[in-house]
Amino acid sequence: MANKKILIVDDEPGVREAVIKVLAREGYSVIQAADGSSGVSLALRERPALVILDVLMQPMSGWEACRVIRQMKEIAGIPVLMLTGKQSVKDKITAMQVGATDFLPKPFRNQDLKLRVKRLMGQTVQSF
Amino acid sequence: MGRSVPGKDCLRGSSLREEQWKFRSLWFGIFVILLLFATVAYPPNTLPVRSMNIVLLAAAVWHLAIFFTPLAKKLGSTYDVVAIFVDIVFITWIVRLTGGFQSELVVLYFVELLLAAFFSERVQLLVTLVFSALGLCSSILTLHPPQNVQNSTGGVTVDLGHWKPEDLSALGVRTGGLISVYLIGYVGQWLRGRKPEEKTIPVTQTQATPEPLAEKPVVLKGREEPSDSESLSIISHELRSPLTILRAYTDLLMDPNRQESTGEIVSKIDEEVGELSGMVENLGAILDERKFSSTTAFEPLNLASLMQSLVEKHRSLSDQHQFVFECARREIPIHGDRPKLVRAFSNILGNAIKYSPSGGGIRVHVDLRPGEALEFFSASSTSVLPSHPFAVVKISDSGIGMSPRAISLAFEKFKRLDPERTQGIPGSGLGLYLARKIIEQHQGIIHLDSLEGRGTTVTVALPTRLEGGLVGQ
Repeated sequence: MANKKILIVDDEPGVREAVIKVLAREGYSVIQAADGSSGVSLALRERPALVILDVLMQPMSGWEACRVIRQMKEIAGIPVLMLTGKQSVKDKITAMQVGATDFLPKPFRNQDLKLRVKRLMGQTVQSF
Repeated sequence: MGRSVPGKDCLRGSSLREEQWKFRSLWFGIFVILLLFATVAYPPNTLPVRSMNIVLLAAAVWHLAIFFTPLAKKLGSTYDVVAIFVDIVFITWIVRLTGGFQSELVVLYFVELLLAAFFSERVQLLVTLVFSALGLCSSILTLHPPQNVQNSTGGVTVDLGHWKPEDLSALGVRTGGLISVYLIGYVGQWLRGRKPEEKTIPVTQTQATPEPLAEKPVVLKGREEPSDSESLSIISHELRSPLTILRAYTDLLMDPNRQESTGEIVSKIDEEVGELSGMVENLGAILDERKFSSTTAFEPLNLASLMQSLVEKHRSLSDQHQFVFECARREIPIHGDRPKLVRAFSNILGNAIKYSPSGGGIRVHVDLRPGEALEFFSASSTSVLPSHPFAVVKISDSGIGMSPRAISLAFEKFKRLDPERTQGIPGSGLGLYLARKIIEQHQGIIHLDSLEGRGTTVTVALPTRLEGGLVGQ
């Protein structure tokens, strides 16, 4: 059976709740964490098929969490969707540098989130 | 020594603490100085000493490499093993300095390691002191074993011997050895990052991962005020979260196949609109901040009635909290800018509501007190006149309270503190900052006392007489 588990990491509980509502309706099982470090720990334990990461979090930012995920061989292959503040060239470069698979600017449309998640699920990233 | 496993650090939060780096540098400096001292004090005239110095030099280079280069990250747990090996070499060196093998030093070192790893600082200190005392007693008994001597009356007495200067010297060296080992453990504990909990800086500032301007962290180190561009990026981020939630729920509302009820979604939208409104109000006040001096319009005010009306307003906004208003005087005259004072006290009352559990009490006490009686006056740097009476407002809640670190940064801009404890409580980190600015505009003092889990009291003292001659009474 295909892994349909998604991990959402965002320090804003309202955003996590909204994402869970949207994705749960699509049949995904969504787990959550409130910061980068607990997100990485949860990813190690639960091995989700996709990690959705907010960028601005304390104490570990989403960029840093993504970089750590790519360095850990057990979870390095999980696709990571970054929820970034804006879609600037600088953000795109940073996303590529830390090994993010895709990114979605906030605020996003539910349809956009669902399409990207669908595309990324099951996709395995080459180890960096 | 600093045995924080880099890989694990990343998992714990990856915040390389400023103090940790300072202590690493300090420790490395001490290490090098001791090494130089040993080299001078013990000329390499014999093979064992030469070998030892080579090993020590290699150890110093190794420490330098793992402390100040990215090598530590790649080593992972190997770092621990090597660091312990280096420590053992260091202990051996101390043993050599102190004139011979002392098993208690080595045992104490390992006890330190275990204590630093599993127990608190106090336990470590206590056990180390007991251990040191036992070690010293053992040393004294070794130097001067008590002997039973027949006395003239035929009885037996214990002869403790006669101390010679060289005995005292040997004891002193041994004591020095014990203290050194304790210091190794203690500094090691600091290096592990247990001691310094404050002033975290994000890894992105110390490592190679680039951080775009728009994604600067919300928590700024120390008491720095964010620059204009940082402020704008933080504001932009703060606004984006409620917007994201709003968009998600409006999309859900438009979805004909949704499972959630319209009421549930609208309630969420209403909640986020309220959050956005509060942010916009505070942001408007921030934008006005620079115009404070020219736009502040002082007028005679009765603080007693102003506070009473504010308490009534907040009581009507939150029926979940028990408000108590206490004021022995009908009139407390001050000079102030009414809208700004309303904003300042509303922010403080709003915090009291936000951070108190449902059913919690909020007490507002207003009084007139002589300046000399303000116990926190000496801590303030404002230019108020201490001889004049002050209108004092105390707003106390029985909420979640604040950590010492949060208290120290509470009045700074964009400081959203204790993120784990305030999770789910909306806020932009501007309320208390604005309150401070406004109270300072009124030549007043704002002070905060808080105990985690017990509640917070914000005290505001406003002078009845303003510098420049305005008299409020």
